[in-house]
Order: sequence, then C-alpha cells, then structure tokens
Amino acid sequence: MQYVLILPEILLAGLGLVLLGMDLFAKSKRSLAVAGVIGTLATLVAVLANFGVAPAEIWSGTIRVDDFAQYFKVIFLVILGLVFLFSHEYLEKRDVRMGEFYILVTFATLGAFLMVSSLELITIYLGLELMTIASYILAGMLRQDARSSEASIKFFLMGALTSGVILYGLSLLLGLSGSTHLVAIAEALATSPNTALITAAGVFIIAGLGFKIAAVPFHMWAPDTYEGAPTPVSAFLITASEAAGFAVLLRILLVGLAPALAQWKMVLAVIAFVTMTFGNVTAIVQTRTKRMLAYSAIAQAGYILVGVAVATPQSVTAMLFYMLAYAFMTVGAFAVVIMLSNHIPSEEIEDFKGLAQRAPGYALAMTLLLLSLIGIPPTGGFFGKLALYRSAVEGGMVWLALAMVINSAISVPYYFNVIRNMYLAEEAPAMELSARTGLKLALGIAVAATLLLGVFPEPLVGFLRTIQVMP
Amino acid sequence: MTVTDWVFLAVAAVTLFSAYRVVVSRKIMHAALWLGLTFFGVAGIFLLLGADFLAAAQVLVYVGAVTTIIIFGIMLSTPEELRGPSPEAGSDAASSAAPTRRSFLPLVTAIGFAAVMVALVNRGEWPSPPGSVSTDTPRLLGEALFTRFVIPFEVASVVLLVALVGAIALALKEESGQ
Amino acid sequence: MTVEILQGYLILSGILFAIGAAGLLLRRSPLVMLMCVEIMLNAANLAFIAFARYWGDMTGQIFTFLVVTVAAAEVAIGLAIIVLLFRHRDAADVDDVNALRG
Repeated sequence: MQYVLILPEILLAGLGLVLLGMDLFAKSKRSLAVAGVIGTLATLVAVLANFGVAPAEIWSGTIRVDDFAQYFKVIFLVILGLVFLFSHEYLEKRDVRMGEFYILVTFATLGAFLMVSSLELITIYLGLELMTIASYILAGMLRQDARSSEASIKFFLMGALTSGVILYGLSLLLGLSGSTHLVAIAEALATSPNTALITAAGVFIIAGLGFKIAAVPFHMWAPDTYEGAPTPVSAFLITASEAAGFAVLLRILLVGLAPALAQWKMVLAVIAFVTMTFGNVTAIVQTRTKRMLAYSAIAQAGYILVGVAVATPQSVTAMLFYMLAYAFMTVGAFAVVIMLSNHIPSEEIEDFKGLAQRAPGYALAMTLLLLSLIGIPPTGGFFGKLALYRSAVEGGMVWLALAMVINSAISVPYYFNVIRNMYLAEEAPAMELSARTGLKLALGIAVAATLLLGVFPEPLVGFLRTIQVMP
Repeated sequence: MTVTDWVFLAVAAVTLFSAYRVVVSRKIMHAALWLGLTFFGVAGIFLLLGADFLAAAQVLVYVGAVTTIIIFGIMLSTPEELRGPSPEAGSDAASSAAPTRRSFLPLVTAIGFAAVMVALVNRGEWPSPPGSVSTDTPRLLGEALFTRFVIPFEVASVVLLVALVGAIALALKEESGQ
Repeated sequence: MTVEILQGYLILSGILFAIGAAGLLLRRSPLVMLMCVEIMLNAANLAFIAFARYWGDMTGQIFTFLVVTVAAAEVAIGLAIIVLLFRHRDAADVDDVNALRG
C-alpha cells in the first residue's frame, strides 16, 4: 500500500532517470520532451488515483498522503507538462543543453512534490533543497548570456542564505519540542513556556520561506533572477517554486506553529500588503517584458499571501483555487512571451506592437490571460481574487481586502500597456510568427483552463472545501 | 569547572576566532584556510557532544571536500593579485579595513542578533533533560537512516545526482567551443 | 547533559551564525559569501547536534547528516556557477554583477 501511495514520486523520479538515459542515446532531443509529457501524464494519473484516500502517514511518518498534497502535485504537474510542451524551440534557439534542462526541471518538480507531501521537517527540508539546487542550475543555463549567470549567482547566494536561516529555525523547533514532526511539534509547543524562542523560530522560518516566495522585503533576488533566467525557467520558478513555498508555509503555520498562529496573522497581513503594493507600483515603470512579469509575480504573491494571513478555511480554499488559476494564466502568458522571443530576442514590451495584426490568435489569448492576471471576469483570476477578497472580509481583515482592490486598480495600467501595444495600429514588421505544435497546445490548454475556471468554478471550489490542511 | 568545560571553551574560542578571521581576512586564500580551521573546530564540538560519527563526517566532507572545492574555485576564478600578498581590489579592502557606511549596519545587525540569541537562550526554560544518547552512534545512525528515514536518505541521493548533472551542465565547455 | 551546558553550546551556535550572517552582508566576493553561508550551516548543525544530545534522540544527528550531504552538493553547484560567471567577466565580484539593475 505504501508503494501505491508514493507512486507519483516514484514515477517522477523514474522519469528523471529515463530522461538521463535518453539524453545519452537519443538522436533528437525532441523525443525527450515527448517522453517528458508522457511521464508527466502518467504521474498525473497516479496522483489523481490517490485523490480521496484517507490521509495517511507512511514510511514511518516521513511521507504524508492527503488531498492537500495531491492538489499541489496536480498544480506542479500542470506546470511541468506545459514547460515540457513549450520549451523546445526556445532552448534550441538559445543553445541551452536540452537534456540537462529536462532532467533538472523534472527533479525540481520532484523536490516540490516532497515539500508538500510531508509533515516531517527532514523530508520538507530535503525536498526544498532538491528543488532549489535544481533551480540554481536551471537559472544559469543560458551559458552564453552573462545575465543568466548573474541571475544564477544571485539566486544561489540568496538561496543558500535562506536555507541556512530556515535550518536554524528548524533546529530551534527541534530543540523546543524534541521532534521533527509538525504534529508532535505543535503538541509540544502548546504547553511550552518558551514563547520568545518559539517566536524566534517562527521569525527564522517565515523569513526563510518569505525569500522562497519572493515576499517583500525578502524579494531582492527575484526580479534579477526571473529576468536573467531562461524564460521557461522563469515561468517554472514564478509558479511551481512559489506554490511549493506557499504549501510549506501553510503546513508550518497552520500545523506546526498553530499554537502561536494568532501572533503571526498581523505580521503576514502587513507583509502581504507591502508585497502587493511594491510589486504593482514597481511593475508600472518596467519596459522589459520579463522584468514586468517578475514584479507582477511579486504582486501576485502578495495576493496569495492574503490567504495565509487570514488563515480561515475559506481563505485557504480561495488561496488553493487562486494558485491553480495563477499557474495556468502565468504559464500561458509566458508561452506567448516565449513565442515572441523566439522571433524577436530583445524581450521588450515594445515587441508586442502590432501583434494583433500579425497573429490575432496569440494577441487574443494574451489579452485574456492578462485580464485574468488583473482579475476581470470571466476568467479564473477574477473568481480566485473575488474568493480571496471575500475571505478577507469575512475573516475580519477588511482593510486588507480594500488594499487588494486598490492594488488591482494599480495593476491595470501595466497589464493594459501590453494589450495597448498589441492592438496599436502601428507599422507591423512583415514577419511570419509561427510556433511549434507544443507551444500552441500549451497556450491552448492554459487559455481554456483559465476560462473554464472563471466560468465554472463551482465544482473545483466544492472539492477544495473538503481539503484540510490540519491533520 | 570540569576538564570538559575547559576543553569546550578552548575549542569554542578557536572556532569563533577562525570564523571571525574568515569574515575579515583580506586575502581570499587566507579566508579559505581559516574556514578549514572553523570546520575542524565544529568537528571538535561534535566530538564533545558525543556525535563521533558526524565529527568524522564533518572532517571528511567539510574539511576534506568543501574546503578543497572552495580553494579550487579560488584558483579557477580569482585573478592572481587577489590571492597574492599585493593589496586587494577595492570593495573588500574598504569594507574590512575602515568601517564604511556599508559595513556599519551589517556589523550592528550581527552583534544585535548575537545578543538577542544569547539572551533568548539564557532566558529559555528548558524541560529537565531526558535520558542520554547511546554512544554507539554509527550503528544508531545507520539503523535510523535505513529504516525510519529511508525516504529522506533516498532524496539526498537524488540531490547528489542533481548536483552532478548540474555541475557538468554549467561548467563543462562545449566541444565545439574548444 | 545539564541545561547550563546546553545553553553554552546554543550560545556558541548563535554567535557562529551571527558571524556568518555578518560576513554575508559585509563581503562582496561570491566565494567569501559562500564560505559565510557554510559557517551559518555549521552553526545550525551544531544546534541540531546539541539538541540531539540534550533530548537523547538520534533525529538531530540524522538531520545534520543529511544537511552535510546537501551542503556538499550545494557547494559544488555554487562553484560551477562561479566558474561560469568568471568566464563572462574578469573578476568574480558581486559588485560587478549589475547588468540587471533597473
């Protein structure tokens, strides 16, 4: 039984090893992407088959299987699958080592899997390290581009610092409770007289995870890294890596530090407010597409953080919904950026000029995804934001809900700037804009899912209500 | 004070002093060597704490591998003059020699942080110590790693595989480029 | 192991961590920053081992064992990145890394 329950992890690790073997022998690296998509689908089936099983602690408590973990795994697999679909041409044009790229992105996802499917700090820490170590390498894989190396070194130094900080916090938790399992820690902390030390442990862990989700003031590495990294990697980091960070934050706050949760809510609310405001205001002045999307990602992290700060079942449901919608809309937007940068490598927002004339389909898709990022119906982004907003009001943080609304308004200009550029009747350079089937498929899936989540959100919301973070 | 206490104080002093030298050494090579001594000091502390297997692992991995890799890195990436006795390039010399504005804040932060940690630890109420650990640590570690913690153990092996693939992917020169 | 002794080890670990953090903030060379991170990881390991001894439980030692493994992998990657960075510019110094400002 315990092998069935960790079948997704086994399949994903197997996929990584198969890709490693194929990389040696396969003549065409395209077959790796195809194998990657097949492997992702197989893993997805294994994850879906595990939905609804009773929460179980297996492998002596080092792995936990519950719907919370399964749901996050679906998010990661969606992102991984889309990355497999849309990366090939970009990697080919930029002369990135494809074999290693596919292998590392698979193992990074495996790390994210382990982060969400455990209440044991040792597994969480190792999953985190697996994901981040693979990400450092991925960020530096444009080896001819100095900016990619800079992205990588900044990411690496900040990431290494972060692991040190988190590790110190974890050691304090072990010292205070004598255990590394979050449930046992919560039990021990509930009666512990050391409130100051518990707070210190919380500060270390929340600051460390704040780095991972690029919350202000721990965001300084993020814009540079997201801009300098290869574009498919940026898409992966902004969505998958961030979602994994949020999952761990939820687990640690709502399970391990549950006895001290009340004192953290206000701090997190302030961080959420500062993060979204900073991200949105800074995004307005950006002229480069990826940098704009990087600051937009910081702002979006602020919105998602609202769900953690409010910390009610409703807010967690809203947050889970928003994270899936966010994955689809962000990865979809990045698919368009990749398509464009395959033809115009400069990656300026100006490049979008006249896109509506040259490629009306892409322009329409991008418009829809940007509307979703702003939070305008009928998109998944709108519904997710509405749910977050409502949960904040019901959870007694009206000011935060208000801040979200104002921030959505602030974000309109920079998203609309892209749309305006696309539909501007400028002189359109006579250039054939084409893309491989994989990218088209990825974009189609992302757009369809964004619409679907906006029009028919009820089935998913109904399911998400049944998800428990607490064991 | 017992003998163990004196030994602890001596090893702790060596560790802290060498760690301090890592931070303030102007020559990067000296910093690397001081780092090796810091690792030795920490291994000594591990021994005092009865973690003999980990002390050995600390010497093997940190002193043996990490310090060596870092020295390789210095050789590969740093220009001659940064390694040799000639004055070091701008920013490092400035920040370690004179308390510039940039170096002032981190120092205050670090000292403040250390003070807070000391105060917290001193004020902490620790429950009465439970039993003591068995001295047969290699056997206990091995047993735990291959039974209770077998999944983390496997994940650690994947981490090493990723590092291997990644180091090659990043640092190996293209064949066509040579 | 008495409480006073545990506190001694924890204070040592805290100061070591602070030294590493100070170095990370003070120094600009990626290699020295990497060394400082290693000092911080060692400080955390020290706390783990002290707690393992205090609670009479092997979990802290297991944690440290795995952290040592991960740290070795991390250093290898860090070095690969620094070598890569050095190919792009003459001196590997974080202050030179600013093509991405703005």
